[in-house]
Amino acid sequence: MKRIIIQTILAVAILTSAGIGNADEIFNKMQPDKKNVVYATFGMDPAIVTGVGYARGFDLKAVNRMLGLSLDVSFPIFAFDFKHYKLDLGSRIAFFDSNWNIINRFGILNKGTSNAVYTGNLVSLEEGLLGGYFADNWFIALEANFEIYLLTHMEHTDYYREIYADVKDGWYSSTGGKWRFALQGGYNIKGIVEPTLRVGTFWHAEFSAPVMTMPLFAELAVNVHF
Amino acid sequence: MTWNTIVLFLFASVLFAMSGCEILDPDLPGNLVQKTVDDDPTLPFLEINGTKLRSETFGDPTNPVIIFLHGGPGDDYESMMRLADLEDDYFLVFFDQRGSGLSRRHDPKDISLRHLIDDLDQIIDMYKRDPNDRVNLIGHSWGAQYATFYINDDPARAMQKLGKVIFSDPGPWKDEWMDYVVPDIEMSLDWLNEVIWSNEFISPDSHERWDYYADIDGKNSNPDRHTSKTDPSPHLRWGAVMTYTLQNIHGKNGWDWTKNLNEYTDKILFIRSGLNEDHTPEYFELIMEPYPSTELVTIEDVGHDLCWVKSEEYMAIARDFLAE
Repeated sequence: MKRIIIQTILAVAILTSAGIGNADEIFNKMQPDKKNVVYATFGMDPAIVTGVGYARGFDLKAVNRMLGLSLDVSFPIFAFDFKHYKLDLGSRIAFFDSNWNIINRFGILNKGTSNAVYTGNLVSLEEGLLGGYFADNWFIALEANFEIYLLTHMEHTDYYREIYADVKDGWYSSTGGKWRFALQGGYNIKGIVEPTLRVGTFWHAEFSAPVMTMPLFAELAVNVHF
Repeated sequence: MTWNTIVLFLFASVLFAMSGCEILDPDLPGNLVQKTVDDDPTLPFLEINGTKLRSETFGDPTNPVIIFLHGGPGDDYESMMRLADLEDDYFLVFFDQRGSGLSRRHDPKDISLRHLIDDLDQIIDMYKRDPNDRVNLIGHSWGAQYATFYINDDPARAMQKLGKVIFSDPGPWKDEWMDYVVPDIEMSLDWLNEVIWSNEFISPDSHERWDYYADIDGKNSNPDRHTSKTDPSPHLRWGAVMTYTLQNIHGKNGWDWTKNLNEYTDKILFIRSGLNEDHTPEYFELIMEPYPSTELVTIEDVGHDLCWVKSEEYMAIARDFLAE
């Protein structure tokens, strides 16, 4: 019960916070009548993952910028179940008013997992920069971001307690983090449909290699503007 | 009510909900994984060659010595502990190998085959009853590989220092034989989801976190080895850096520990687990061939955890061989 309450609070907090999303990066080029975007993603990140999301642009007249907020959920699909998930609430805003641009991305993520050793729920923060060329209907850019695994709630299984009876359940401070470096590109078709591709590498916080997988990720997203 | 107020309220709620909670450090010894000999002064140990190894002995030190080499690399000797009933006739030495189990953790630069060979050689010298004594070895899985590269390193030394040698379900002496024992790609998709997704939660940037992560990997891997679900063998802690370092070294360079095995002419007993689909009779033909004198016994109806699940049968076979 306590876990459900904590999760609900975290989920609601995330919904109203800034975060990272996987939607298109051409918010600054949005048509005034098409500020909504729904999108689907598929990729390897680090497991085979699929997700859906929604994003919207908001005019910030005071700074003459468009603020993009997005929310998406994704699941690894080697064996499709809901015990592994990632909720990703994102914001993005461009620094400049030009085709060459840098976009700041900030987000809060909530992830869940359940495995042989523990059931976990994690809150993380992600900050990144995307720098490149953003034309009216296409873009190409380089991405760098860092995610810190801020707090993780861990409850251990009977299986693991057979291995180590004194393991502690509870909230753990940073269990790590992740660096991502990627190349992104996208093309907007008739202002409505926009496929984007993101390919890159990821490493753990101290640049150790990922476990049981290559330090690569790739994601294809299809965004629909309306 | 503005968005700012709502967000502040919700974050305050989160803080309130957590206010009674202790925030735990994943790297504090004992929180996620068992403490090693460096953190728990109650653990029995021996110190040799710049390392500290969890170790226990059983039996009368004036009896013939058996040294046990556990599997892994990186595991601990708990799964061999049912063989401690051999203490009535033998002096038994169990130890967690360098960087494994509850032994001291090392950086990769302090983990190599040379370190392991010297560790074993010094342990043999520590426990042999006199300068001419010969010590028996029982090596299981990776432990048999450990004994083999010790023998291959200096067969004349091995002939002088070793008595009877028993190997159960050995890993390969050559990298080209790995295909026999590498798990099939058709492993549990659930397990794959869990292990890979765990990269999103834990960074293996400390011994504690990496060893902890290794247990997510360990539960369901190698299903073809048919280990027992009703009487699972115990295990305390993985030495993930040890496992990764040795896999990394040999994954890049390959290995071949057979060059000098033909000079070790004493008979070696090989024990095979009958249910094990990786350690097939064909595989055993390969690994027995480099040794000039061998004998093979199969224990039926058991998987790779035969030291634990069929310990009585294992010990009976071992006693007969040791008494030859």
